[in-house]
Amino acid sequence: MEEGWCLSVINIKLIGLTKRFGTITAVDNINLDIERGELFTILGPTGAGKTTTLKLIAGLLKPDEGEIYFDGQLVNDVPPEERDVGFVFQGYALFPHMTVWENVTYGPLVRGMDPEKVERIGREILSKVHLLERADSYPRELSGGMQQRVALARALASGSKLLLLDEPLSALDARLREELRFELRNIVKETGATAIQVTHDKYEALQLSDRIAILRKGKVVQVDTPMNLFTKPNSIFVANFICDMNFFEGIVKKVSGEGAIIELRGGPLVKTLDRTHRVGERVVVAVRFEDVEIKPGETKRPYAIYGKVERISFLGPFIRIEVLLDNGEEVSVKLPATIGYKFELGDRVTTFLKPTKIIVYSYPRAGLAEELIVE
Amino acid sequence: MQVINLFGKKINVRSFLSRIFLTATLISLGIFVFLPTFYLISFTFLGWNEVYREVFANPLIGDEHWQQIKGILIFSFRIALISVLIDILIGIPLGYILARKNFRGKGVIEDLVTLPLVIPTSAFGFATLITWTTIAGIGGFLGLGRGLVELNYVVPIVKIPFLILIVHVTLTFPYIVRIFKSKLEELNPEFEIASRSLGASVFTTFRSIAFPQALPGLFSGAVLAFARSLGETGATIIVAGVNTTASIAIVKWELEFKIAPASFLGFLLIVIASSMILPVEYVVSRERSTSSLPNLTEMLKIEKYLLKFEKNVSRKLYWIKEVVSFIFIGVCVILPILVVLNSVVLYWNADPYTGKIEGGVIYQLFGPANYFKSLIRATAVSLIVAAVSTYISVCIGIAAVIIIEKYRFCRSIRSLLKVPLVVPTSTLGLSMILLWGPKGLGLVNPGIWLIILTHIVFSVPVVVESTLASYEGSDVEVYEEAARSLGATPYDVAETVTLPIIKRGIFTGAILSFTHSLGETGATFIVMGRDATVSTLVVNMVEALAIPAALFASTYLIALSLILLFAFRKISKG
Amino acid sequence: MPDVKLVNISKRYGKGKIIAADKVNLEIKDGEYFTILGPSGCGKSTLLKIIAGIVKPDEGEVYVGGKLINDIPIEERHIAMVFQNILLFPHMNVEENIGYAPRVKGIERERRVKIVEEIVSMLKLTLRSTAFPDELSRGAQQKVSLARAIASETNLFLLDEPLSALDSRVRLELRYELRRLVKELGVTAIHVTHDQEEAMSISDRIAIMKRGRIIEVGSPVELYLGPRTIFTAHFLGKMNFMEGTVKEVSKGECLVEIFGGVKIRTKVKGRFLRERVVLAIRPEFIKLSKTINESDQNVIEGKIVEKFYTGSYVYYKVKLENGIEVFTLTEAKKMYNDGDKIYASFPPEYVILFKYPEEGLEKQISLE
Repeated sequence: MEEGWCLSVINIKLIGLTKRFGTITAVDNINLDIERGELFTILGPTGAGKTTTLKLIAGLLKPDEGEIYFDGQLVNDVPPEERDVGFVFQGYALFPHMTVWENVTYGPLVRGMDPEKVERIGREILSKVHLLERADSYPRELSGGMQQRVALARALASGSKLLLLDEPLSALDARLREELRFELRNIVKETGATAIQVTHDKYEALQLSDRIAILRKGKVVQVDTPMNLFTKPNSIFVANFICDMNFFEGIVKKVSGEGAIIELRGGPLVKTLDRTHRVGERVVVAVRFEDVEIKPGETKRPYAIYGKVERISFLGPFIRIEVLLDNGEEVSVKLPATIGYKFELGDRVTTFLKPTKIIVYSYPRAGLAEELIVE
Repeated sequence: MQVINLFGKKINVRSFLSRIFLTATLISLGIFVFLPTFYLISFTFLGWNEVYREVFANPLIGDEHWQQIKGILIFSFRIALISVLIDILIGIPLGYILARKNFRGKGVIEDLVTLPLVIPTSAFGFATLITWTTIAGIGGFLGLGRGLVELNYVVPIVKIPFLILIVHVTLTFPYIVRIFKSKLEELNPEFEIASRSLGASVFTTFRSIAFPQALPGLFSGAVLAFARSLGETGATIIVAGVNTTASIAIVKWELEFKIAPASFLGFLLIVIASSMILPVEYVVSRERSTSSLPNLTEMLKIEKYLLKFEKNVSRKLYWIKEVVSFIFIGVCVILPILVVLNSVVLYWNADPYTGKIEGGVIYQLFGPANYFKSLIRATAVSLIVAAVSTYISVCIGIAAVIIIEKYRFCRSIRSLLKVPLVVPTSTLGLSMILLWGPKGLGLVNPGIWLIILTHIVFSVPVVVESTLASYEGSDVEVYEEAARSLGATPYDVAETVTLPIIKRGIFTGAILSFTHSLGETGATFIVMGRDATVSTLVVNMVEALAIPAALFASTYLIALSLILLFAFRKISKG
Repeated sequence: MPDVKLVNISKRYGKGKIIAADKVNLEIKDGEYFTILGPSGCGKSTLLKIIAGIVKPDEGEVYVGGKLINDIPIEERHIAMVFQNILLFPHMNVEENIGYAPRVKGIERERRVKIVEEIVSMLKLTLRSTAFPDELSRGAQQKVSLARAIASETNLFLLDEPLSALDSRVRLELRYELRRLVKELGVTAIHVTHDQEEAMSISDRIAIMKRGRIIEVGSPVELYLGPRTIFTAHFLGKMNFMEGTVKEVSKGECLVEIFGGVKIRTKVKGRFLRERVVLAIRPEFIKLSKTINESDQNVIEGKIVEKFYTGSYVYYKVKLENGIEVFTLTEAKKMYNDGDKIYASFPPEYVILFKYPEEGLEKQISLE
């Protein structure tokens, strides 16, 4: 560890990172490689260990095991004030006894930056988040959205090349969140910094990230681009968390060159392109809401499953139809509202699961219900 | 990270400095606060032979002292127990009103609840005395021609002198009210709304939801009140008449140079006080409280009737709690103050009943006794003592707060600091004299410096508690983390973030301890030597039967406390 | 199954400076799932609290089932509430929490246990009845709190942002549970939220609220496809706005000139000639194509600037040739890339016309 080491961080590497609180292992042997300039998201339910991971990277918590590397340098023993990270806290943590200006310029000042430079940076950053006119206000006088922007500005003002964002938007109204989401991504990308964000909101993760790591009970379950996570979830948990997914228990009936034919509970058969399971194996068939075809009435076609419309929910551009299938199970179908409005409660319908879109998983040891728990 | 070379070894500068800081703080706490508190214990052990001889096997009187001690302790315990029971009866409705209701003058009521904590005990004892036992008080107001109650009147059934009881109840009820109130305030009031939305009346809601969760607070407040009553000295000296409580006995024996029985009794009191406080602290710090209360009423099959009763009371008699509380405060707190003020005016020129000028305030102050001069001198002493002891206590207190928050093994210091608050003040005085005075280290003689050292002992805990409450109530930790992530060193953090945010807590602690110091009597009485403070001067005046002078001094002291209390409230709310 | 009526309800705070409710009139039908939707601070929670009796209105009356209830205390209003902060009594276990309402009614333990069992199975809760709230996940806690409300056997459910404190994934599941239960039990439900997707997916009717005023009331479909105000149009789902001036009007149709001289044809009711207007169209109705088709109307050339991935559908940010940016919602299988040249068409039947708001467009749609 050389003296006076101050840095320009670009890529982060976590190796075997573990942190325990009493008997609970909050972070369990995490390995991650985050690339320069990436907007990386750690996604998972509350309590999965996301905030703890972020605090370990920032140095606000000490790991029990494992190493953290910034640009190849081991930083485990570097105290937080020397790691040069910009941290946006979940509740913003704006200093209540300081004005917006004082909050934003705190970092540069406490690091001993030249006052003229500080003045310039403060103005620049505050203009970027459109809050220059409120520079003399106190945090309690600002709305939630404004406070969030001040928190972001404060983290950016230090000019650090690593941004850590702890659920930056979760304290805001749903509607406001949607609007600020894109602004947040733009600002972060503009600075060129590497950003690691943490959230439990899958829409945020999917829309904003370059890559996502799904965290469950302290462990990383899958790391990939949004598109790959969506099209190729590696487990029932990820599939359920990221997509709107239907799950059916079934048994493999027949395997051919094309794929497996699976029998669902009560008898109906579905055709899949899966070739990784054998006859007689217990499996789980997963298909997204939008990948279920639905037609009114009962039309004969191979692998059709019939049922009755039980519930219709309006989602704006889409409509979700819940069908009570004849075998007693339920399937949800999502289709554009322009087509979906034709259906009515009680209608008999024909559903068809598109083989190219079906994912087949081995039946989980812990049971299907356990894997579907999202908390 | 700065690393320097010292004597050939690499030392991390920062951790070196923090270690020095920790050690210095622990030493200061040890010398100034804990040593005096627990000294009597070691004194008694070291001089056990002598103590044993004097107390248990005295050649002249056998174990007479021990018998006396036993009787006195039982008497004091009885007073404390009954006082606490009455406190609970008053404290629950009063705490509930202050926690949940908003009304004009609420601030005044809160001040009146805080007043007994800081009022000069001697002045207050005196005010209560004349209110009940002289013609200047209720008796005269009712036209009885004499005091309403006799000095030594004993309340039947509980067999406790009325004056002592009323003084103890008044001086100890704030402990219960404040803690119960703050526990209730911590509770999200929405829980009670949820309960009502499910159909429960206001009283049922209180019994089932609020009370069980605030119970630990009530319990810990009761323990503090009990210990406070055991240790109450200043007011008790004035109103005790022929009775002797434990703390008075210590004063008496000390003045008679009977150190052995005095120190033995003091030793017993310290042990009792510590053994009560520390377990309670542990119990209260555990989260889950009991839900057995609702089950109890069910088992007794009275649940149904209780519910009906509560419903009716909620609708019709909801005003009772306000009435009871306000009557209590009016009679016990406001009345004595009014009486004193009234009497000062009455007695200003001459005794209104005999017409003698010698019985007037002016004569006593400026006449041959020249109490005015003593008053001026005593005021100077009081102010100096209060200012210096508060300043030193704030310094030690802030350092203590820092190490308590930073190091896990220092957490227990917080509980230990409650002990000086409940140790009988006379015991504390005795301890100080034996430790620092001619019989001990011989470093400090009775006088202003010893008073200052004594006051530091109970001021540090006040500053620490107040600062810690402010620290924990304002999520400072989150801001500290934010500051560190922005590049602030721990020192920067303390200077720019922590201190500004908790400074209000420090101020209120400082004012509380300043005011308390002004009014402290029991310990000061023992260590003052020839430097009297205003509160001990009142005791002297009463003993010399210079009643009008005592009136004036008491009024003056009480007024000062009220002003400071007002400032305290303004700052803590501001 | 009562109906609820609010007549001229007003409430102010902070010595009259903060208007929580401004002469609000609402009628909620018997058995309806009614949602009050609006941004934080609009006064929706205050309205609910007035109905519950937690807050007293400055003016106005509240009728439940035709009866005036202004002066009736909370515990006698026969309501069941579910709170944002969940508020399960921490010192009581699951069974004691759920059984609380029956208990304070005086029902003995044996019957209570049966009631609790029934409700637990209705909600398909699989947890120990002796568990304490802090041992459960937040979603489970809120379910228990729902069970507790159901156990009071009342017919009016008041839900104050019941899902806002939960993880977004949990919210998705629980919201449908709420509707299912309300409909199964046949009760009237008034639900308050700031989440427009939540409101649209489970309500029979929605009231949009802003700064103490009810802006519009209607079914989700009505409000989404035919909003009568710009605020509603913006608040529900995503909306593209374009300012312009009406150039021609003829037979229920008009031609609007927007920025850069581009003209859009749309339907119109009433006289708007030469007036400033705002055009609105939902992203999913804008058609994107690499070529111009004969049948497409209102075609404008543009370039793909960015894309945002949501799964099977993609939001494209398109910069039109006149400089305006619009969002479109298109199937993911039609893969366009940043920088692609594209033709966007705006079918007239989906373009909504609004009068230009007095206070300006930005202020009108602002959420804070």
